[in-house]
Amino acid sequence: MDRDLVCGLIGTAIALVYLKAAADIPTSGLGDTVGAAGVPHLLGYLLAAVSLLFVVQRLVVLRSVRAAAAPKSGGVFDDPVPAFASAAGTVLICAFFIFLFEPLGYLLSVGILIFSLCLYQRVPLNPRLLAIAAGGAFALWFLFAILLAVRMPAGVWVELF
Amino acid sequence: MDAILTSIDMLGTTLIVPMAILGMTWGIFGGALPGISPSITMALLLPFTYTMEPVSAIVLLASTYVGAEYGGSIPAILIRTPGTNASAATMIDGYEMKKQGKAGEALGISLQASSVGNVVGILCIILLTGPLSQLALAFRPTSYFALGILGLSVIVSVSEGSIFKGLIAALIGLMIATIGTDPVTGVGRFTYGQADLLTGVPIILVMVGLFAVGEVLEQIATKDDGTARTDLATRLKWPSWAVQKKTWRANLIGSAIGVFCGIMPGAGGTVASFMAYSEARRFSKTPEEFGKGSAEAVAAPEAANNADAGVGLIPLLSFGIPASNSTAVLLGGFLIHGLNPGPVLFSKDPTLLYGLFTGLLVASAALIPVAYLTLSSSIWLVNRPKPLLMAFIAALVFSGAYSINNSVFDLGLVLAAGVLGFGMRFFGMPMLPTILGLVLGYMIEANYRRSLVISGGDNAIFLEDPIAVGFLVLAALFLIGSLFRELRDRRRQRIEREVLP
Repeated sequence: MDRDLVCGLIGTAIALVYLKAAADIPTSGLGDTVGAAGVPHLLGYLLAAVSLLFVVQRLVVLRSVRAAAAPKSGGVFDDPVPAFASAAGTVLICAFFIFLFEPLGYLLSVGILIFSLCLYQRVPLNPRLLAIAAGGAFALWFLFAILLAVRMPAGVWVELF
Repeated sequence: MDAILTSIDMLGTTLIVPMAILGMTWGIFGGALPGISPSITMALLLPFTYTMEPVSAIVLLASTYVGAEYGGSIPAILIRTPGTNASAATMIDGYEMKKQGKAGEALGISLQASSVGNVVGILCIILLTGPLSQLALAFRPTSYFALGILGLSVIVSVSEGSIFKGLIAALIGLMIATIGTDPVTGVGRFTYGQADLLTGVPIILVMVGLFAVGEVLEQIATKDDGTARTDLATRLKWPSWAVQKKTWRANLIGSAIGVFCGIMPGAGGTVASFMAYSEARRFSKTPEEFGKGSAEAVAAPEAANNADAGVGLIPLLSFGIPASNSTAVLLGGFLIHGLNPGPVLFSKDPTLLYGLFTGLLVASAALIPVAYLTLSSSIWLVNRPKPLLMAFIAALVFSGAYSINNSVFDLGLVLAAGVLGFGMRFFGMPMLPTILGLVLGYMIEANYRRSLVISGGDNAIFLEDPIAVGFLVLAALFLIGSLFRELRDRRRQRIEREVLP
């Protein structure tokens, strides 16, 4: 499916969801003529209109020429499916890291993040990779927790020992 | 005179000098990493600036910007991969020189041209920022509303790709800006009981997510083509007198074009460097050498993109409107310290701006020695495997984001912004309109509603302010012009397809 067309459809969907959420904004007795929901409503309608216009414009372009000869949509990836799958994997690793950040503590969770992202990018699993992950986590811990005195989570280990 | 004395005093009493050198060094390293743009290099630093004095933080970020513009030429010359978009023009002849065994000389020419461009850009900032910001002192709420609309329209209309994508990106930014407490009534909007959202979505976290996490997601999703790496033995060679005599004209042409493009919002360093390349060839005594390792062809684009970087700060400092991704991140640095760049800041706290100007001059003077000292490390970094770099950047980004508020919620926000950034890259949407919408959203809404409160709800108040009318007409002209240009381009493409099936 044409990428610009999908972009326009996603824009329309975002506008509809946003408008639905904007409808729940409470009104205030202190309200001015516009009100707290006034600008969000305006933005929602504008996004819906622009996105729909984009969809229509793209459909016209696609109809006027054979699909194969249509001007290519913008974007950085030639093959979208592997790119999306790869990005989804990275997002999952990062989400997992965020989930474990406080329970495992800073040092261990950052080490796991570096290790798993490297492994995910097909860096061979060997002692060198383990050393890089451990060394990287330690260097960042030293930078943030010691030099910048940021209170980083210590993890459940503190309660255990 | 007062300004000069204040600046000299600040050199000794503040951390301007170490911050300028540190920023320059970090910028060169960041710029040298292929795929890491100056804005990402700056965004990675943002969390560290929270605990700093405002002047130190701003000088650190601005010097990083300057350093990254030069740093981009290192991989462009050595491994034929531009570190920044703006150094793509340098790559053409820089890499040819490398193939001829003149990599060190090419790096030296690039360094000298960058220094010339830097100095020209900084002089323009010092001369133009003050007078322009005085103009803005006459602004009323209606003018500020219209200025915000004009800023968004200009960026949307000059953004790469379809104007519809630019508009969608800007509207998404404005929508994110509506999250939090309503500026007039105090009602919570889209907060869903989440206390972290009451003060709105932190702009800094969105910037870090969009630029840095989005870039990590894109780089990991893009297969490494295993480009041949350079040797580690290249040494920087300052251009000889003969080469300097040959390149002075290219340096001047590049600087002039950089200033011109810097003033034009959205033109950017990439346009400036390619224009400079083309104009330097036109005025060259040896145009036939262009494309085959010409020293002038390395000098002109580098002078242009560095001058452009300096001049690009003027709209931010004078009106509070960033004209590029990098200046948007610099704006984030101001906001972290509760400062709003623009005319009020200039009249209320000029010492901060004198400090910034001094810091930029120090950074410019430090460029040459820092470049010499860091070249070996830069080349080492250029040669690091991409997977390791991406893993470390991700770890650094999340650590920095957590350190701002010690909040895991913030990490989730950064990741969500990163997913948005990846999606925008995927669909070829420009990111600057989103950032600008987010930054200007509050200003636009608050001034719009403030104006209506003053007028008792009568929209005619906007027509009574000549500055607002001028800005709104200009904004409409930019959008209509851009729409016509897009329609004309599509028509031309259709005709070309029909003539050449």
